[in-house]
Amino acid sequence: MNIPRSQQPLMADSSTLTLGTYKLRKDNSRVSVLTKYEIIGYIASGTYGRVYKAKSRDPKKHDKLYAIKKFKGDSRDGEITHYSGISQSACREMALCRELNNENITELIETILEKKCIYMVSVFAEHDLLQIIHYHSQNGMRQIPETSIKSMIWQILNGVSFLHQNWVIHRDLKPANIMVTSDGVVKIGDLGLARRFNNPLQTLFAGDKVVVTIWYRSPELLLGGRHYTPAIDLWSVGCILGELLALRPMFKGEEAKMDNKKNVPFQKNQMMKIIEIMGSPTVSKWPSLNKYPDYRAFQELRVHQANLQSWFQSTCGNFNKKIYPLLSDLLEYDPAKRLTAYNGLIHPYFLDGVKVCDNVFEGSKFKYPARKIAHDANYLNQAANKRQYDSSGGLHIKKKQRY
Amino acid sequence: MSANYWNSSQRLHWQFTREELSEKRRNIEVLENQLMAAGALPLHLKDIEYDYNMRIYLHNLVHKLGRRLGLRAIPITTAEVYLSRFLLNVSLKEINIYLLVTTCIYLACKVEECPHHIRSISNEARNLWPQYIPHDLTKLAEFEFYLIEEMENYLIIHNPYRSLGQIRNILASTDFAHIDNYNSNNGMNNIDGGNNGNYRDGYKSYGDLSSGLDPSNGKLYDGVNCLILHQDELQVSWSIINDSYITDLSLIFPPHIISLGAIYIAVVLRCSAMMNDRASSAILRRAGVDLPNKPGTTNTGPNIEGRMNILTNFMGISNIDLNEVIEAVQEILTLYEVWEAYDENKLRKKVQKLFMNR
Repeated sequence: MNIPRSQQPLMADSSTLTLGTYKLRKDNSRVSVLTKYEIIGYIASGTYGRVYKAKSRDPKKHDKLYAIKKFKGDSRDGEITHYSGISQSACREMALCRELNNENITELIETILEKKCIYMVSVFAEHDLLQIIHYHSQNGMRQIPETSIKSMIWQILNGVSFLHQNWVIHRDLKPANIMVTSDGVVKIGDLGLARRFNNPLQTLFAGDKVVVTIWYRSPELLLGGRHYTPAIDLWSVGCILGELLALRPMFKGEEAKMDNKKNVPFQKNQMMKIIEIMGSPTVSKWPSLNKYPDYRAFQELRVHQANLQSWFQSTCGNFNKKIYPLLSDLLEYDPAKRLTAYNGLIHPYFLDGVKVCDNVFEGSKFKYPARKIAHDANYLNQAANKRQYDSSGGLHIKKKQRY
Repeated sequence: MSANYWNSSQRLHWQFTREELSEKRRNIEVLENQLMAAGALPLHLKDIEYDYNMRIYLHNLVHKLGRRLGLRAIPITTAEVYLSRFLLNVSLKEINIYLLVTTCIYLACKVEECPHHIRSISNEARNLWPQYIPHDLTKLAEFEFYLIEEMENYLIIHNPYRSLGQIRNILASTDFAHIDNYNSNNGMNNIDGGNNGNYRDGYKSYGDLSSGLDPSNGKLYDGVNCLILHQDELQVSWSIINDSYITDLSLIFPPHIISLGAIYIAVVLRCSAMMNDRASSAILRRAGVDLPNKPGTTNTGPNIEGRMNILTNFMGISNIDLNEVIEAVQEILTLYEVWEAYDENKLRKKVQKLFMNR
């Protein structure tokens, strides 16, 4: 059929311009989240959106529990009223979780795209490290058993090693993002800041000016390093280990806010907290130190002697003595010399002494409370009014930035 | 996985046999017939097919928008894979292909970590195709959801550029005349196999590739019995890889098969063009290479015949499935034949029909 030019429309009409007949066909075939899952309650909310606890409506899987993460929209109350493009962070998390399968990474069951919202369904984990640390610190500062810590750190290193071998840097490791299932299996979660580094079309810095929650941020990042490596994750693991031992954050600095011009300030206070325990780094021990953009600002800080040994002595006493070399290897200033996740798995600490358990809770007398959930009537459709559970010191950065 | 093609979702979920592909396309045909019978699709679209000509047209759309946005090869090819995956499940008669192309690029930029704002992508697309790109940004954002859903959320793509660099390095660093001494640890069995445990090693080997298409960087031997690919050959291989996305190759074969096929064609073509073969020169020109018509300008090692021998030797001992490479080579040559007769205007008119009387 040949249509003369004069009869051709200047602009095609609106339905053919978009998804046309396809949309209708597809919408009719989609199974909704609520037909598949029954929401039990909501667990947490954060910059990314809200997380719900749910179970399957499939009778065969009825005993299984799931965590459903619903990504937040742009509008003030977080509800999504129109399509606005998936955020870079949601996009990363969807792509990476789908691709990466490892015992120690949160297992993604499926992603459902429905009514302008993204739902990521993963296996529910009853505990997380922040909650476990709180439990111990609020019950008379009783130490977390050595076997538990050993198992946790080994499993974390195993997950991180897997990520790094797959060219992925997590960039937001902290206790709140390390889940533990009721079977004692560690699951590293929240890959919203994670990114592949095998093929940087842009520098890592260009994409996200600030990465890693301040207390877990490595010295090379604090000094303004832009071409950082997977070693930044290992510093965070060191901070997590310190926190598991001390039951409080190891370097609890205060974050300097960005100025109006969106310049990233030198995080003086955080750097100070590190230096007070780790001592002042020197060019002889960390040769590239003076190459970092904020080296000058750093030089103005008071000089401290290395103090980790006595910090360790005062927090742990004689308890858990053998773990000290691992802590010190993780908290190495020079990223090039810092322990890698792969080598961490065969660190002498794991080869000697008590064997590494697959189950974090094996032999432990502690019974941790189940994750708190809130029950409210209108789960999926209601915006978060207040935070049920704040993962202290969250990363208040450009996670919501849309492209 | 993200680093390793062999465990990737691309191999495990998005690689098909030719039979599986035809099955999927038959399903689309059935669907189209149903839609037409139900009056949801106008009958005059019957003669519009997803054939090579249409696919060249789509490929050109992707590249036009990609160039406008100043994109590198990787996000562009990722977008092309998204496009072909989507059209395995959906008929191109059901949707707005201009918006589809725009959406594929929008998503690929995010996944390949070179994001552009949705507004700037939409604006550039509308500058190119004012009739077909709606002003409403939410339409593009909406399409993104459907695209991701249709790809079952598998977004990470492995492309042949990496193995192109690896093969180049092996060819340049191995003495293929004394192959008995060849040490298999040299990485030959490891093309695209990811790194074995230590990402630092892997990082290094990737660094080699990022040194790009400059053969001088890969010059590890002086080129007596090894094969140092000429700058032109690498450029042609690179272009052939780009063009291969018009075909089904990326849905059928692992990336290294495509890159080896591309190298093979490039080396042969350059040889024949040197001997003043006009057809070969034509393909080379399409790939952006204009050879000086002076035979014997090559200083990169042995003569033409010798170069072919080294390449064949390498292919023989490489454990790479040669039948697959041959199939890839044939597919690409067929594509170039069709391309010779391709008429962009004819296609544009054809595509216009997609938007009428719906």
